[in-house]
This record gives sequence, C-alpha cells and structure tokens, in this order.
Amino acid sequence: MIVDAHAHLWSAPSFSLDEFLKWTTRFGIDKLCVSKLTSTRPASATGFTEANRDVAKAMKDHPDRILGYCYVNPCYEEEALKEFRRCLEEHNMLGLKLYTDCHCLDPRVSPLIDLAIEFRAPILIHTAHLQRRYIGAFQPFHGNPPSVSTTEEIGELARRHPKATFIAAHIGGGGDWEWGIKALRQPGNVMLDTGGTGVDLGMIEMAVRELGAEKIVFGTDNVLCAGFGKVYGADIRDEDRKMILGGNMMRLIERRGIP
Amino acid sequence: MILDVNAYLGHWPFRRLRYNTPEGLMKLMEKAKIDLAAVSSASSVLYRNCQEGNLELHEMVRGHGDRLIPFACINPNYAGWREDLQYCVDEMGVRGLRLHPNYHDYDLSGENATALIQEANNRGLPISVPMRMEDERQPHWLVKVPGVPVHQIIEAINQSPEATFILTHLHFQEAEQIINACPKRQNFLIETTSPYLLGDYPNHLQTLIDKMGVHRILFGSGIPFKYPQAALLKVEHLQVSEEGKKKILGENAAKFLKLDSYG
Repeated sequence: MIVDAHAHLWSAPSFSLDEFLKWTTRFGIDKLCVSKLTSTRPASATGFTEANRDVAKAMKDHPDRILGYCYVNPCYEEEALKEFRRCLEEHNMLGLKLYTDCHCLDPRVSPLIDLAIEFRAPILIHTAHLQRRYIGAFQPFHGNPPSVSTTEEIGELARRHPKATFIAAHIGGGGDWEWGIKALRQPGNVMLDTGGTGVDLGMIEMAVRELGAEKIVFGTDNVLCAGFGKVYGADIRDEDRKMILGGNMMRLIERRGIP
Repeated sequence: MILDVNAYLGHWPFRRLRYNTPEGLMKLMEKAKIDLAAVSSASSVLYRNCQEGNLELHEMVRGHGDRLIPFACINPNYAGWREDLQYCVDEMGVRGLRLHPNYHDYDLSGENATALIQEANNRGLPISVPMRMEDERQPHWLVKVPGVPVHQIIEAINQSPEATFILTHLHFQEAEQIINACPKRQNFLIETTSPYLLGDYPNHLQTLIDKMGVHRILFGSGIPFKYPQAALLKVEHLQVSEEGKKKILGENAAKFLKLDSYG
C-alpha cells in the first residue's frame, strides 16, 4: 500500500486531475491525500471555500483514491473554523492543511487545532526548513513570506498541543533539511513528510535515524520521481520503507475513522 | 549500459557526503545498476588550487578505470592552469573537463575561460558545466553561491561552436532560455540531475526531448550528492523507445566521451 500524504490539486489548464491520476497510477500510488491551495495568497474565505469544493468533488469522483485536506486561512477565524467543520462532517475529509497565510503559533490557529483533535484529524503544515533568522535573507530562493512556519516553530506548536497530530511538510522542499530533522527530535506528535524536489542523499537515512521510521510519511508534493527516488534509494530497512510508503499514513487514516 | 555523466569523489565542506570514496561510489552505482560514472573532484570546487583535487582524484580512480572516468576541474583564472590541464590529459587520461565558473569566480564567456574551452576543444574534451552544486534554497550561511548565469552559457555556446558543452543540474526554465537563444546550435547537451527538470507531470524532460531529440540528452544523477534513483526514474518513465532510452542512459555519453577507445 502506497499512500501519498502530501499531494495537491491545481487548476486547469496547467493541471488535469485525470492526467495526474494516470501518472500516480503508473508509479503505484494507491491513495492520494490532497489539498488545493488558492492561486493567490493569503487566501480569502471565498477562495479557500471554493478550493475545498474542488477537493470534495475529486473525493466524490475517486472515492478509493483521493482523501482530502481542508485548506483554510486561520485569519478568517469563524469562517475558517466553520469551513473546517463542514469539510470534516459533510465531506469526511482527512485533515487540515495550513499554508503560509497565518503563522502556526498565531492564537487564531488554536481553535482549528482543537477541532482537529476532536475529529482525530492530522494537520499538515507547509514548513520552511530554515532557521527563522534566515527566512528574510534567503527569501528570493525559497519564496516564503515571513508568516511561514519553520520546523522549529512547528515543534513548539506540537509541544503546546500534545493531543494533536501534525505533519511537517516536505523535508525535500528546500532549506537545511538536517536542521529541520533535528528540530523535530523532541515532540512525539509531529510526523515528517518526505516530499519536495530535494533528493540529497542521506536525507531519508538521517530522518529515520533521528526520528524513527514510524514518524515519517511518504509525500511527493506532486513531484513523483524525486518523491519515489529518495525513498527507494535510501539505505534503510525494508520494513521501515514500507511504513514510510504507506503504513504510517494508513494508521492516521484509520485513526480518523475513514474506511 | 548506464553511464552517469555527473558524479563526484572527495569532500564537500557543508555537509557529510556518503559513498564519496571510489569503493563507496561503486557500491552506490552497483545498487542503482550504473555501470560507469564520469567523476570529478568535489573538493576541487572549493579548494583555492583546484589542481590538488585533481591529484586526489588521480589517486582515487587509479585501478578503477573500468568504472570511473576522470574529469578534470580547471580554473582558468588560476596560475598554471595550462600545465595542470596538460598533466590531467597526459597523466590522468581525463575524458572531459568540469568547470565551476560560479564557485571559481570567472565568466564562462570571458577571455580566460574561452582560452580554456579552446584548449579543451583542441584535445577533443567535452566541457561539463554544473549550473549549481546545491539547491540555492539551502546555502551555508557563510557561503552563498548563485547558479551559473544563463547568459554566460549562451555566450560560451555561441562563441565556441566547435566545443561540446554538457550542462548539468540545469533547471527546465534555464534549458528553455538556452534553447531559445541558440536555436541552431547543436553543441550543447542536457543532463538529468536537476529537480526542476521534472520527469513526471508535467514532464519537462519529455518536452526537452521533443525539442532537442534523444541524442542530446544524457543521464546524470549527481551522485553521491543525490539519490541516483530520482534521475533514473525520469528516464524510465519517458515516452520514448527502448532504443532512445539506451541512448540517454549511456550510448550518447559514450559517443561524446569517445569510450570506444577507452581503457
């Protein structure tokens, strides 16, 4: 069982879900956990609601393949909370996706986390694997606004909310992945996804060594060759590779109560 | 036969490399079913005197000529580069050059580099130019090196039409700019390491093949910096014939490196 914990729907004409599904089938992915981001950010309430509608439709059209993350901008406090609840209750979405619209330690995020705890829903957070002091200086390369959450800050968020389950996104998404892995050593309730274009040799081995294979989930961020290349190429035990490729994410899916 | 045209031995100052000895690299190649690799010294990239890295490489590849094909790293701004090049050709039997204008602080289309390119061409050596050694999103806080400017590549290609350039770790957008600026030039080849040369969806690599033909695409993975499986998957999933894949995986490179006379 291969589960992509971090995938996206994008917009036509540059993206076709049918075409993307053909590719993911060719690579052997059984289930895709997808979110859709708005094309301009910070997202408006109308924007994230429409994006989630597209995710819900994809889930309905491909019930065996696609699970959805609800994407919201926490700055729209009540509307964001209402939308997340609607996505959980009406569409049986898997979890919550947070991007750079609002920093993860902003108090407006807390009610969303409480709701995720209530529904045992994982929270996938776009993550900059860079020390906070370099976010500004390296901005031309990584492109994140100051409101992005760093790995260290997600670690702090997890300590504040020990009952929630977080997924720090794309260790291969650029930045100092060694720092990112070390920043997640302490909290037990943060998983790390393997997504992103980065395929630096040693990345997956270090993540397994420092965090344990049970805390790592396979993700592609839609970059399939890089996504599979690093996990297939890593010098790790086959049972750890299996857990990463699907076993760990299936645990989270089952915990959420999705059949 | 799989030939990786973008491989290294030696050290990298900013993170630990694994498999960076000859035995290690060959073990990595074995696992990925890579038969041959064009290797240069990773240490040469940041040594002031990069010839010392070539000398280290000479020691390392000795006795492994059936698997490891040495490339020389030459800095045309540094004293004695002509003698160093001669040594690398005569004593090491290098099959190509690997130039790092961004790390060695020169313009690839400048006077000194043009003279080096001419010398390489006179000896029938292709010139490999890694556009970058690392993802620019993860620089060391003390050393931030931008990629090789695309305009330098375009000028060098046009200035030295007889030379053969192998552009490694080249992003798709950069490749498009070069193709558009040099539509009639056939003297540059593109290699598969870059993470921004997607091989799935959208399939940038397929787009380049449609524009350039399979004969100008070479397999390279950036070992031991990168997991080679990522680049191998790009070739595996191409919509080209098995013959075309064989060309990309090794036959094209073997031709440009003149491997029929190798060993």
